[in-house]
Amino acid sequence: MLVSCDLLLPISPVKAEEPFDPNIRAEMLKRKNGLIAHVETIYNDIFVSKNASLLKMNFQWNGWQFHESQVNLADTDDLPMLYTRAMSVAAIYPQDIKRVLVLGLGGGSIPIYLDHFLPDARIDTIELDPGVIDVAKKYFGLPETNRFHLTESDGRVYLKRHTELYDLIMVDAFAGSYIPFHLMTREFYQLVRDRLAPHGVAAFNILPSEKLFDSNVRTLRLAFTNLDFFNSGDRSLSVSNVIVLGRLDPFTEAEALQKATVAQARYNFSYDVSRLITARRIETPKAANGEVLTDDFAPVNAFDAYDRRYQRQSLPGDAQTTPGNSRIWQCTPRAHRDGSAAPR
Amino acid sequence: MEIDASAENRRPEVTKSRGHLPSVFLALFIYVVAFLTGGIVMSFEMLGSRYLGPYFGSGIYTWAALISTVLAALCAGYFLGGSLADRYPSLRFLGATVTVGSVYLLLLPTFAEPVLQFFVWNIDDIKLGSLAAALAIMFFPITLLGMYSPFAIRLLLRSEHNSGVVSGTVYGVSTAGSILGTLGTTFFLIPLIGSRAITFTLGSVGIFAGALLVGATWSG
Repeated sequence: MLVSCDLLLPISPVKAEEPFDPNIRAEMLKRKNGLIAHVETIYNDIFVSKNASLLKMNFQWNGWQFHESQVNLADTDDLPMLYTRAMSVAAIYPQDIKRVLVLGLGGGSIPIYLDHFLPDARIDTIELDPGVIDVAKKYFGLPETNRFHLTESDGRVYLKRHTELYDLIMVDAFAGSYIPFHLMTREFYQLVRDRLAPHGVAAFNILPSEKLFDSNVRTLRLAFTNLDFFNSGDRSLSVSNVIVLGRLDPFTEAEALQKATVAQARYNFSYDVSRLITARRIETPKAANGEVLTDDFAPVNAFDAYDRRYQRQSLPGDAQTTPGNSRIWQCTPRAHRDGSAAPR
Repeated sequence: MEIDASAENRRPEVTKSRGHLPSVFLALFIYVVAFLTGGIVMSFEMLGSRYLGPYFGSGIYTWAALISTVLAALCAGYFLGGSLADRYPSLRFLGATVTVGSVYLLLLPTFAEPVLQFFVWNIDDIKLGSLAAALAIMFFPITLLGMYSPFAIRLLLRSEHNSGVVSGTVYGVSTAGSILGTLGTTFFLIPLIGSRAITFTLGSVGIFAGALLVGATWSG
């Protein structure tokens, strides 16, 4: 591991229940804007940079910079990345959230957020790259507590070998801009479903390119009969990822909204899940062009090269302002290439 | 073997070696099969990540396991092929090795999963497990196919005057096949059909080529 900017920090003992070290966060806040560290790991080129109160972890992958993770140093309850807010909607469905599994660490904004707002839950985060774990601990201040654990492992291997059940499973594992193929197959989605506790929910961050997206939708349908689709709202990308929730239980949209209202009252999330669930929801895609992805057949890189489907359009009447002055954008599907209008 | 500058050596189609003397068509076919076995080996290596990935993940250790397994098998194949070629310098023997290795490939999809499961569950260290699994499913066929090049050189050589060209051509042709196997599998076959189907195809092509080599000795 090559660290080009060295950082010496006074490390104080961490309080038992804090999922992050506030001293590290405070120290980071004092730093000048710009690049703080460049860490090369065996998998990634990690750039840690700061802009005002935002601490960002970017990955460089073959010359492309990807915004992988951002945290708000001044407000630890914030979720600066819009797609993570859509993923948090998953928390409305389980009756009690005791165990949460997160595949893919980044800067740890999702696990930290859930750890803060779900005080009874144990959060296990699985990350393949030990360098990302080190950077998250050193610069984003993630230590381990009795409720918050970081494990170095491939996500699927971990799921396969550990038979405990989870109320929430968040799948947000990327290698650069790609999701590894073995995390996008029918067998993997079935494995995730098999690891869900009763009333459990899985949340997936899915790439929007048309062929790959349609194939993922078709494949997810084989594992989960109940699916929700949400726009990720990401402005930093030219096309928007889609967040898919796979539920064990069936709910109508009205019932889901009611559950969201109850959950928001109970957990008091920074980002109101009852507003997110309505503002971000998109219609169930038909996925006409999709092929079922299996361990045997999953040409995900080839499919990703096909046209990207979901383009962002701003709808001035629907835009809402949320904490942090960011706007939630509606996502409408682009018209199909044959000229037929896509369903709204 | 004596170095003989007689007219016989200047006839390109007659090769001199202990045992069978291949005609020019047969010699060409030996080169063609060198191309095919080179392609099969690299195609199979590309498939290796599709077999191992779902069980051992996409860590760098999986790639290390795959590459080192293929190299170990080729290493064993080269040594074994070289010594067996001197002892049994016949096209029939060569054809048999290609056929046996390809039969293994044909059958692999039927037993790959239980073998991979076994190593995931029984070896704690995932890095060691991925290496063991890669060896278990890939070592045997690649060793047999790796025997081809030194064996073919033995059969094609007529004297040390052109031994450089013959050995260089065999390896060059085989490597050209490897390029096609690598690119063709990655950009054409994997997006088109499943890994099992590709493995069947590789096995079938190999069996066909090996059977032709064996059969060619009958017609002389």
